[in-house]
This record gives sequence, C-alpha cells and structure tokens, in this order.
Amino acid sequence: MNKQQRFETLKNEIWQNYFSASKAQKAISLDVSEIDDCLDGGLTIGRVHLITGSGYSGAVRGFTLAILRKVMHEKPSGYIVWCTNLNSSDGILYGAGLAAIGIDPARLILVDESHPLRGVAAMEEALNAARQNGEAAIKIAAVIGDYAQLANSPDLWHKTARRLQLAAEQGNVLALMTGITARIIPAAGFESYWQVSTAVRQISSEQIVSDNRFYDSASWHVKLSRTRSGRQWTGNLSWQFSTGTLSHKPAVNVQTGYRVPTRQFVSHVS
Amino acid sequence: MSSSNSEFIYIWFYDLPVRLACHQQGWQLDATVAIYHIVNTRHIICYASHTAKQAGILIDMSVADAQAILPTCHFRCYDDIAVKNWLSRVGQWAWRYTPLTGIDSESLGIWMNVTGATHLVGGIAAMCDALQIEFNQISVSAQIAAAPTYGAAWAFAHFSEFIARPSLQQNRPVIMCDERAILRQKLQPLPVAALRISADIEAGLRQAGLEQIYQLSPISAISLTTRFGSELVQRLGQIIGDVSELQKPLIVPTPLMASKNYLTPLLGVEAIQKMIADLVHLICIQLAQRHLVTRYLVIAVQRVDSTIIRRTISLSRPSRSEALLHRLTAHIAAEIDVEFGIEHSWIEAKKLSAGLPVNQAFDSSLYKDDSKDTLIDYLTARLGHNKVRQLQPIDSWQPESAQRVQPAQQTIRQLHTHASNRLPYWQSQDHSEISDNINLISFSARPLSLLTPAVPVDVIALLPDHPPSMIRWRKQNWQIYQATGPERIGPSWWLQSTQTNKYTNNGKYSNNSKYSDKTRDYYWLETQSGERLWVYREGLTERGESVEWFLHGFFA
Repeated sequence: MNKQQRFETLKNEIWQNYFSASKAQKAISLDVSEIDDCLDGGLTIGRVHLITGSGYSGAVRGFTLAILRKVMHEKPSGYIVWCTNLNSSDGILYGAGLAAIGIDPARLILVDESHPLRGVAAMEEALNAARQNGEAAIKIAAVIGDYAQLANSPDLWHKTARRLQLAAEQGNVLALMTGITARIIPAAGFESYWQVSTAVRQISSEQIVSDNRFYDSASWHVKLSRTRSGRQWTGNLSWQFSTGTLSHKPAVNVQTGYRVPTRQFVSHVS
Repeated sequence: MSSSNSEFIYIWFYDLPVRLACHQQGWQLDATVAIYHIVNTRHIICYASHTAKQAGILIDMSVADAQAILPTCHFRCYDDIAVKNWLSRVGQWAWRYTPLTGIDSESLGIWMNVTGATHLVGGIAAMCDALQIEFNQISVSAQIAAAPTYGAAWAFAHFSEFIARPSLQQNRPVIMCDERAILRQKLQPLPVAALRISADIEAGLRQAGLEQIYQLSPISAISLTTRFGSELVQRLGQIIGDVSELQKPLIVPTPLMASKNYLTPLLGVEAIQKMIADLVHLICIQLAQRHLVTRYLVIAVQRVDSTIIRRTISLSRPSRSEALLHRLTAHIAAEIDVEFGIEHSWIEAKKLSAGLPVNQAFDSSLYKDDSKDTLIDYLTARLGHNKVRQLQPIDSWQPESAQRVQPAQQTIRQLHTHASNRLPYWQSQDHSEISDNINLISFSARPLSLLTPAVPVDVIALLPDHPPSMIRWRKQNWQIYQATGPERIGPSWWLQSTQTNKYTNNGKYSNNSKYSDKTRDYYWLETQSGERLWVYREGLTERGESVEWFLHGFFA
C-alpha cells in the first residue's frame, strides 16, 4: 500500500466513523419547534447535556424527568442510571411521585456517590457499560449525574466534560449533567446548556378543584444558552404529566393575592 | 439401605422451635413461650414451652384462647426457614461422625447412618454418649436413639417413654437396639403413631381399637392393606427392616475451583488480565461440565511475598456465561498491586445451583430479560454493593416509610425468589389510569423529591387549620400564591417502637426513639416564584396538641 492509498483508507475510515449518515446521532424531540430548531432536531443521543438551576431541586429534577420520560418512551427497554448523593439535603427521588408522572421507578438504577469525582467516574462506568463490544449490549437509555458543582474546579470540569463526552459517544447513550448552582458555569464540551427555574402557572381556583390542575402540570422558565447551532432560546415551558408533552406558554403575571381554594379533605387516618 | 449391618442414629430436638424463638428474641429459656402456625387464617399453637404447658397452654389451641388463659405468654409464628437452617448446620456438624447425615425438618430431627463408623469412637453406645454430651454442653435438649433401621431409630427417639430403658441406669437416655433379633420385641409396646403413618390412618386404627404396634401382629398384611391402604404395611416393613427405605442425605455443594501456578513471577497488567481471563475460562468449563451456575466468584492471587489478595464478584442471578464473567472481572487486573509478581492464582465459584436450560418456546413467562441484572452486576462489580441501589415500594401510608432505597442486587433477588403478585407495587404505575381516574391523582399526588427527614419550617397561617400564607426555609421567605389540601395521614400507632428522625427547631438532627403519635395534615403549596412544595402540619389543634410545620418534599 503506497502513501496515496493509505491516505484514501484513512479518509474513508474517518468518514465512516465520524461523518457517515449511518453514524448520525438520533435526537429526541422536545415537542417545541423553536427549541428543536435550535438543537437541530432535538436533544442528541450520544452527547452530554448540562442542566442547572438555582434555589432548590424541584425545577431541575422536574425538567430532567420530563426529558427522561421522552427518552424512556423512545427506548422502552432501556434503563436509567442516576448517579447522585442519596444523603443530600435537597431530598431523594420519591418513587410514588415518579410513578405518578409516568416514570417507572423499577427502570431507575441509583448510584449513591457523594464525592463529585467518584460520581463522575461512576457515570463514565455506566456509559461504558452500554458499549457494543460485549456479547450482549446492556440497554441503557440515559445516564444522569448531579455533579455540576464540579465546575468550581475549571481544570477538572473540562476534563470531566471531555471524558463523559467520549464515553457517551462510544456507548451511544444520552448523558445529562445536572446541578443546583446560582452562577453560570462554563459549558464548553457540552452539547447544550439549560438553565431552569420555576415559573408560576395560571390556574383558577375552580380548575384546581374541578380538574386537579394543581397536580397535573409543571411550569418552568428555561434558558437554552448553548447549542451546536449557536442559537439560543428563552421562554416558559409547561409540562403536562398526563400526556408527557412539553409546550411553550407565555409568562404569567404573578398575582400577589393569596388564594386558598375550596378545601379538599382526604383522610388516611387508621 | 436396610441391610442387616445397618446402624442408624436419630436425634430429636423436641423443643427446637421454642428454643430458637427464645434465642432470637432474647427471652429466658424458662419463659412462657408458645409457637403458632397459621391454618386458614387461624393462629393455632403447635409448640409450647414446658412452663407454658404447665400454665395451661395446650397444643392445637388458638392463640386467642391462649392469650385469655395466659396474657403474659410470648407468642411467635413458627419459623420454618430458621428450623431448617439450624438442622442443616447440625447435620453438617455431624459429618465429624459419619458422612451420611440428613435432616427431618417436619419431625425436628436429624438422622445419621453410622454403619461402619461406630468403631472409631468405641461403638454405637459411645457415639450416642458423645453426642449427648455435646448437646448437653450447648444446652440443647435432644432425644437420641439408635437402631438397625431408620424407622426404628425415629420411633425410639420420639416414643422412648413407652419402652423399658436399661440404659437409664447408666444415666443415658438412649435406647440401644444393636441386635435385630430383639427389634420386634422392643417395637411391640410403641403406639401406632411410631410407624410414621398419616393422621387419617392413625385415626382409623384408633377407631378400630388398634393403638399399639403389637396389636397389628396377628392381622395379615392383606387385611391391613384392604382396610387401611398400602402405606401402613409398607411402614411396618420399613420399621423392622423387611422393606428398604431410601433417605436423602445432606449434601452441600463444594465450591468449584481452578488454579494456575507460574514458574516465574507474573508481572504487568496485560499478563494479569490474561491470567484472570484464563481462570474465568477454566471455571466456566467446570461449571458447564457439571451443569451448574454460580452467584459468587472469588479470584485470589498469591504474591511472591506470600501475601494473598482476594477480589469477589457477586451476581444478582446465577450464571455461567463466560462473556458476562469476563466483563465483570475485567477491572480486577488494574486493582491488584502485584509488587514483585504473582506466583499462584486461583478462582472459586460459590453459591452454586443447577443450571437448567429454559425452553423459551415452551413457556415464555419463565424467560426474563436479564439486561437489567447484567447492568446491575456490572455496576456493582465496579462501584460496590451498597453504591448501586433501587427504590423499592413498601405498603405504608406514611410517606417516608412508603419506599426503601436498597441495594439493587437485593431487589433482583427478591424478584427472582418471590411470586410477582406478592411484591408491593408502585401506585398509579400505569399512567393511563391517571387520566381516567381523577380521584386517584388528588389522593395520591406525591412529590418528586422527598426530604428525609422532614425539615421544620417557620410559617404564617391565617387560621390555625389553614394552609400557610408564608414559609421561611433556609433564610428565604416564600409567599404562598395558591394552596390546596389537606390530606390527613394518621400515625402508625401499632408500631410502638418506630423511631422518629427529625431536625429539631435549632437545626440539629435528632434521632430519638420517642414514638410520634400525632396526625399530619399535608398541603400542596405554590409560591409566588413558582416553587411547588409539600408541607405538613403535625398535631391537631382541636385535640389541644402542639402544632409544628414541616417541609417534606418538592414537586416538579
């Protein structure tokens, strides 16, 4: 094989491995056309996405679970590996609540790791488990890690992002890095960066009582600040638990009045 | 097994369930204890301690009646598994006398076929003496008997009070029967129950006035078979040795092992990787040859300085798949510090069971997708047993008790060992039910994140039984925008010893064993900035109880 032939072989190999249509990564649509356009079709599988929020864990966890429900629908036999600190003061995932929003807790595998570095290593192991070179590929739908606080150490953060990115590519698994932090963290190396906070829903007192709207949806203010296309998106998203669909909703003017609807008394007193 | 030279020893532990209950619960051995079993939802006493019997507790009495007679009596359900395990351990211990031992869990005894082994301890009488001394030393009550047949040994052990005991003069409650000629004579006074016949045959014999074995002698075998069936004649033949009787001896599978020695010390990660791969290959061949599967592997290496390093691999379901085991052991090479090299290595397969193939076409329900098990085994092998966990539902109204975060391998084993309909399930797991049943949503709306333990918060409520209008948590004030509720959840008053873990008002965590007997009212709140919270008020003002507010979870 002469030099020219070697170059041709190498070019073909690079094309097959990185640019061929057969290797194109699948994307998960988020039902909102503006966001899908920014993301070139949706959240790309085989990439690492960063989701952060400030305050408390409800909004970030809720948005992450909204994505997970879509991934679980796309991969009905896949399992979710969630690396987190089970002793965190932000609370642990609650199975009854997950089941109520359509996520089967039996498909959820928790990895209890409090140290961020060991947690990221656990994420990498989980992503590596989905590699196809074994006899039977392990079906993993997504790997999540609650270790965005590692961004406090910039060197480690960039290495982490790169290592996770490689592992996610090889395993062809969606990876989500989440965390509670008030500041904007560097997102180089991540496919997308989402900043999520809670938003008020416009529900009348009658709807709360008659339609149980209080429990049937969630609303967040979402800022998509990094994408491959370079486009950004900011707006309010509403997630309907019964259907699992995300929709774009206009912002609501917060009412200052305090509303207590008609009392719904439920009793489990033995 | 019933040859003319056979010698059997039967050891009957007549108060074993009572002693096990006392040992497990820390009760005194002379306490009044009654063991019951459940028959068609009725709790019927099957064993009772000597003191309980003296106080009037009878076998086959209902627990309710026994409680009326003796309210201070301790009651406990019969633990079949504990009895079997204890007998198995004693059976294995008895291997020091003979390799053929077995357990009889229904009759609370073990048997030993000591044929040809008695001379090692000075004869069968000396062996019985030695056994008696051993059990006396650990304060275990045992009735020991020896006979040329298994049936006779069983009968003498259980009904020794019916026969003359020349050996009692030697302070030894052992009935010796080493001469087959006198066996028939010794069996004559025993009751018919000593034949190990079923209860209905025994009742039939008693109804016919046949209560002792000698009364059966003049009746022909044909007549007995015609009237009572073939079992009675078969048992008669077995007890005197005319009919052979097979017993299933105790066998504990020994772990399989494969080892490799090296002339020169083994160094380098690649060489060790190959060594582990070879060991796994060897053990898989052995497992396949014996049609076995394993659930526990031990890989050990001996360094040149004689230090032994062990690594274990635990599987959630038994397997002998070489690819799976290669995958689970792939990381071990990097973990072993070989220093100056390895000169000896071995692999052991433990917790073995029969690896029977499952015909997928025959019954698809038997075949389960093992992808999840493989993933859990893979992660457990790399991250540790307690790191990989799953949420397990528990039937409880108390939110903090309604789930358990347990090791994932334990969950898999429970799934494989329990019938699926006996396991608790997550409520409203089928999401289609939620949209159909609105009441289900309102009654079972639970947060995505649960704070364990619940955190006390400062609140302002317009009225004592109203939801809060403001909450202060982590130095942050939340104005409540809208609220609904309450859902009232009563305390688990039947769990007197339940520990309550909470943060105290000064922010410190306390773990006190005081039982919290207050009712909770749960509210769903939405703040003006959109946070959705799950809070509860503990204590009812109408009962004059002190009221405290706690934050228990977050919604999406």
